[in-house]
Amino acid sequence: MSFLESASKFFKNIGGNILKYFQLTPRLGKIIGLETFIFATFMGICAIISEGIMMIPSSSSAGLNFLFASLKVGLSLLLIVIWLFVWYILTKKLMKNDGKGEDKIEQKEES
Amino acid sequence: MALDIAPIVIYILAFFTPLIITFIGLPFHIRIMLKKGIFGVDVHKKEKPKVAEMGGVILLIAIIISSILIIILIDDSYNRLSIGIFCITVTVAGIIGIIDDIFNLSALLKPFLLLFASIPIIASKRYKPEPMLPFVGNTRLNIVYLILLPFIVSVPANSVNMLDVFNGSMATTVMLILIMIFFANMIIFQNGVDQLDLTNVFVLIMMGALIAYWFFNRYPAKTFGGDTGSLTVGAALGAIAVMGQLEVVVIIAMIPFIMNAFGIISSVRGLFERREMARPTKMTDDWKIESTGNLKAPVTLVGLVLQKGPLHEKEVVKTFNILTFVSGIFAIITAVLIRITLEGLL
Repeated sequence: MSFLESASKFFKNIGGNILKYFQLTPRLGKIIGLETFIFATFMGICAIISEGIMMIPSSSSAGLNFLFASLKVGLSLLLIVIWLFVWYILTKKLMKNDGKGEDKIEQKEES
Repeated sequence: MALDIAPIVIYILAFFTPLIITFIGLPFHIRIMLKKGIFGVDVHKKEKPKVAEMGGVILLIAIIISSILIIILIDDSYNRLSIGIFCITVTVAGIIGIIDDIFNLSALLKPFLLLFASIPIIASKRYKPEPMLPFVGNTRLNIVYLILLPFIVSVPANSVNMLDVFNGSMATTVMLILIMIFFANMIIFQNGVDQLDLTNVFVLIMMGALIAYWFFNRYPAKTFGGDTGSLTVGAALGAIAVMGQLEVVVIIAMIPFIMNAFGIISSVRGLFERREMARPTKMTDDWKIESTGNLKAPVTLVGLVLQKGPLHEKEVVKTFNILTFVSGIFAIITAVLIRITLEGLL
């Protein structure tokens, strides 16, 4: 096989592979949607932390300052925990829907 | 006495040393394992081929040797110790993987033991308790960070382990994550090639080892990485996140992995070993993978991907790659936003 032939075969293979990736993408719509939602909500949380929680003032008194700092960390962590929980629930829901779909298929096959 | 070597040479060595070791080591490993009868059966193939187990051992050896070589070659004692700590962390996780491959650890004991993998990082203070967030910039977490740190190593290790189910799936997805981490690190810290950036060294070591490993683990696989491979690679991702101050970027890049772990844990209501659970997939007559529909089986990312019909094993791996690529793009956007925040533009 000449160099040109092998090079053309190589590029055809790459092209074919890329095409396969594009063909598979539509069936992943829901999951990509969930990924986007998770990312967007995380960015939202960061914006809330930046524009809201970080506005809690510092104090010259050491005791108060510690209290304010703890409040900042606590609230931020609470938001992150809520985000993780929402992520968990949505994943669970998406996957449960998947299960239900399969049940229906099984029932159809049985009937 | 250390030699004064240019960072670019260190980067080249960090990439090619594990690549060559893994390329040379794996064929020997495969032969020895098959000879000694340590093999698994690839259930996704018609011929049910025997595949050598524990290929991850070679990955681990390649990472250790490469780390030692770089420790010898670099001049700075702080950097030397950091590479040593990275190597020890990955080795601890790898040893837990070896023990699991041989003795089958319980699903609760494995993540618990992995929490200890982060002890070298904590003991040597190779972390900065200031994770960077987009819009916020540097945060100061001190005590909270210390409490969370063991999980930053243990969670990636376990989630990579949970997604290592098809030929080449772990190698390709983790390589995509490493590429994204490499770019994210360049965007955030803007270190040129004239400066030695340890995150780049770690990423290159892992990339070199994984590229060579992929050649033997891709469809049709000649070796399985086993828990040794997946825990080693996962712990390395965690260590890179902590030591490179890229915690948020790595979490975002690993969204599909974490989603898969969430699905498994929620569906079987707790942590169980793969062998203790009902199989979520079965093979069709034309040797494609489809969901079993068994309600007792864990619902996984594979289940979601197969929702619209059966797929060939290679196609399932491709869908994992697409999902990791999307989360990787999000990780890059996160890095850009962090950089903009640090520059005070947001």
